[in-house]
Amino acid sequence: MSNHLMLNSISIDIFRDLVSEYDAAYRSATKETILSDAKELLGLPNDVMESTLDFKTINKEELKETFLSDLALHYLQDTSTEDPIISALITEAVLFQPYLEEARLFSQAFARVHRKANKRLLQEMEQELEAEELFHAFNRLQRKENKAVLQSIQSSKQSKAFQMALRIAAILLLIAIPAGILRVYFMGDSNNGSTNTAENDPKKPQSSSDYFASTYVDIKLPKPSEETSTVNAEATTTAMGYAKSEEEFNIKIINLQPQLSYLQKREKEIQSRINTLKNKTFKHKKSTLDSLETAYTKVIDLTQYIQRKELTYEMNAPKLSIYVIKEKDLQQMKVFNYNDLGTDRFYLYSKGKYYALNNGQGKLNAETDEGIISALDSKN
Amino acid sequence: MTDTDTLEKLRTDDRYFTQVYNEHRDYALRFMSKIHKDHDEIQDVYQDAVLVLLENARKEEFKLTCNIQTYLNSICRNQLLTKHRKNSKMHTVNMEDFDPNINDWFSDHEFNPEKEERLNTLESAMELFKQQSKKCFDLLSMQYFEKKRMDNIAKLLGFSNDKSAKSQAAKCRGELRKLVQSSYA
Repeated sequence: MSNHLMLNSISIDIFRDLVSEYDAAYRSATKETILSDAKELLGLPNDVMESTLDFKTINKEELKETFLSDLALHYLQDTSTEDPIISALITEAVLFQPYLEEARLFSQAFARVHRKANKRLLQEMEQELEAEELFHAFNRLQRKENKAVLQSIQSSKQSKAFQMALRIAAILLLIAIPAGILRVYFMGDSNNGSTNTAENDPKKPQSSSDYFASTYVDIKLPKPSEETSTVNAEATTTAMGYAKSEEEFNIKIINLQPQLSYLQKREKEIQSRINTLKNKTFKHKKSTLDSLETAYTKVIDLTQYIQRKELTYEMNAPKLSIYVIKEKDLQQMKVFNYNDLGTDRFYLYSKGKYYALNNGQGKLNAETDEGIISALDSKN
Repeated sequence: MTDTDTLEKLRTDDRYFTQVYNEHRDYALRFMSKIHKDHDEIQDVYQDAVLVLLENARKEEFKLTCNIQTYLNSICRNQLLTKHRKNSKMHTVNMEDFDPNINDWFSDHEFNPEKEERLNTLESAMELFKQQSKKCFDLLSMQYFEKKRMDNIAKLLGFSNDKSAKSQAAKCRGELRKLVQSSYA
């Protein structure tokens, strides 16, 4: 390193400024003097000249600490420095290292404090954006939903399935019923969301308002789990000749637990969003919160609707569907035909109880008639 | 506005990152929603990605090798994959709008728990320092974080000259040290 470079170093400028605080005359000190004094103060090998500093008027420890801190900060910003003092300090790591470490930590901690403040700003902005999106999403969904209901009413052929669909549509008014939700409810969700089709291509232009808000208002019920089995319905009597001794029944157990869990999760999410937004100021606050409250109520309604479906059945003999929420062991189920009175009357046996079955829909109620139970037990 | 202009604005305008956040938000969130379904987490990752861009933009040596949207998407994708490498619920979708070579994240990201703990303590001490002595906090923050020159700091904080600001910085550093030491104690 040339002497010229050494004498144009930042450490000389820093040191001059620091000592000048104690002694204004030091501002005119030569670079050689400053370099020598700085090395002397830090206890570095000094072959330049004798130190001129008078430590009776200068707080040596304070000066040393400030000088090292300033040099560490400078070194962090420019590690390529050819400064003679810094180069010597890097070799004397014991003296310089704690200051370097402190400067690094201070620098990182300040960065984190700033980052945290900026993050808070983005979070607040995100909540406002989301609230705005919710407002637009609710508006659009309400329009869509109203239109769908009107179109449905216009259609004169009201099958049983359609009537049921309409009932659910009414329950869900204001909550998005995305394309096919009613189909989803009865048939399960076939969309696994992982295929990059034209429909879900992120490059496809989409208005921001139907974006994340839809995750709060869309109800995409997962597919209920299903299990099927074929069992023989044994008749309690074959004496009358006309009765078949056995009939093959097809039992389907439809477990609604996945749908229930999904709705319970959505309930928590919506509630949490309501709580967050309540404390915020944003456009259309009232109507957005009203819509969220309505959505919340409707999710609760749908949850209760599903809960009421538990232990109900639909039968069109010999086809039987049973709705459950808790796991039921299909292997333990049997079907009997109580025909002692001359007509077929089917019973489902599960976990020690007999449940009467009628064609159509109904609730599974355990049989209490001892005579019937005894006749069924004799075949079980 | 070109991406180069945006980077320049990020360097000079303290609040400009909120505009960048808005401009690239929808695309980035949609991009991530194809990979991961938890939208709170997606938002969190996107917010961090914008802050990474902000911090990097302020480094002189930072060079953007793709457009800002692709840069943000790449950070987000990489973070989601890192966070959920073992999560079978993650969807792998072939999309082109990211650069697999971009692994940028916060430069002080530490895996050393001991150092992380020290940084957390220091961070709390600094929050307290900010409350107790806002001017000192701003002064040291400009020095250590924003790496501003002392003559600029003096001008921004109303000191008569850079010498006076430098002298004040030394005093503030002393105060911060005391506070940090009492936090560690």
